Amino acid sequence: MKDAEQRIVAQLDGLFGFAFTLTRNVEDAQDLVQETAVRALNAANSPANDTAFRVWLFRILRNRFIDLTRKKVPEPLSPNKLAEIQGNDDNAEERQNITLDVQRAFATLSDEHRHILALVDVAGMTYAEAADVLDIPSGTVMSRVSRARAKMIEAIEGGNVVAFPAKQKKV
Amino acid sequence: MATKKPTNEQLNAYVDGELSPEDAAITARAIADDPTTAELVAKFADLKAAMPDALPKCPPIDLQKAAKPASPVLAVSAFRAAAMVAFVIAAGVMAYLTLFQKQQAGSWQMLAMEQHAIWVASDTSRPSQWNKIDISSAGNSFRPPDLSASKLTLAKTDQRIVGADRLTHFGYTGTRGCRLSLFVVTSPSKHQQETAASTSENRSQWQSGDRSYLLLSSGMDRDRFLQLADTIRQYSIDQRRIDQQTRQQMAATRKSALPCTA
Repeated sequence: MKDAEQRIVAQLDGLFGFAFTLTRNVEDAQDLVQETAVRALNAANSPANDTAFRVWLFRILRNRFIDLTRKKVPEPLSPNKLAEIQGNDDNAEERQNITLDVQRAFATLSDEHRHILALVDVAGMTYAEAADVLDIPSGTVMSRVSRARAKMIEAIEGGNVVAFPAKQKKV
Repeated sequence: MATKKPTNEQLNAYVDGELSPEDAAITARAIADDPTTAELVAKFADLKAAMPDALPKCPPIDLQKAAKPASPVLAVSAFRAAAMVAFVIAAGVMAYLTLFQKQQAGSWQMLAMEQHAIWVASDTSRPSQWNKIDISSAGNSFRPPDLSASKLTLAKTDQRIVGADRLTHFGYTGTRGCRLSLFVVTSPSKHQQETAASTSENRSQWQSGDRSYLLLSSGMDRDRFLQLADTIRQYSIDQRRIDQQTRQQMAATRKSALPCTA
């Protein structure tokens, strides 16, 4: 049990970041993470492999969210909401400004783009792991990551992103 | 790939370390050869680095409190599931009865326990003598308390006739699977006030004026239930809105409580 706890603790920030992009609400995200932890700790079996364990945890969280949203629609994520939540940080002014820009840009993304960046950039997942969590092909993860970041840069810079040709060939 | 400009997808895959060593080397050369590409890759990398700070950090979660003994996974067929629902309802009623170790439950309490167990099990297959009603017509001027501070929403208001009395069921649902039932009946018989809470079944019963109240929940955190029972009992006595201080306490208790396990 201790081992499972340590493995869950190592994923808490990533789980919470993903939960927040799903629920758009700190309290609901905290509930979702806690429920995920309870379910994971009480599961009869869990993957021994660390990578599989991480994907399994995020899938528990996502499935639980899907169950809950059958009954309730999450409130919209307003552009200033993230900034309000992070308002207590004591970071340097410049870093705060960058964070604010990123938060505002993040809030303008679609759900699927927010979810993919929460998994890849915040939880640190590989494309294959994120694909497993979201039940989509790895190629889709790749294109979503690319589009999501392009949209964020566009939002931050007011459209100052160089348009490179969209590629379809697998690398 | 060496002769073509890499695409945004390839550049992002490069930033994420998702390219094969060969493709990564080709992309690195393309980046070195073109300042515009290099600038764009830097933006993608900066964005990736800034993302973890953009989302809120996880508040403390007590995993020791969350840990419970593992239960075996049951493979349940559709047929078995129906049988299990019936068993759960019967077990729920029995659990409430044995919780008090008394055989004093009258007919309305039995009906209330059964109704709560059916509701918790979401069993819609049983014929029901309960009728959905508007709160305004719930009778005897009782208004269900606002429990939103504890994230409980009134989701069900049913009533049935028991002898000469009307038995009303107010069903509250939480955001984490909790279900709390408040039963109110106008009854001449006096009931002793008593509360019992265990790890699985919680029950509180009291009398105020000519009404009897029964509060039931399954799998709710014990402290949270006890606080709700106290709050609702007081509300039933003075019929005043729950004050701000109590609402804050309800929110704090709910926040520190484990999700319901029923």
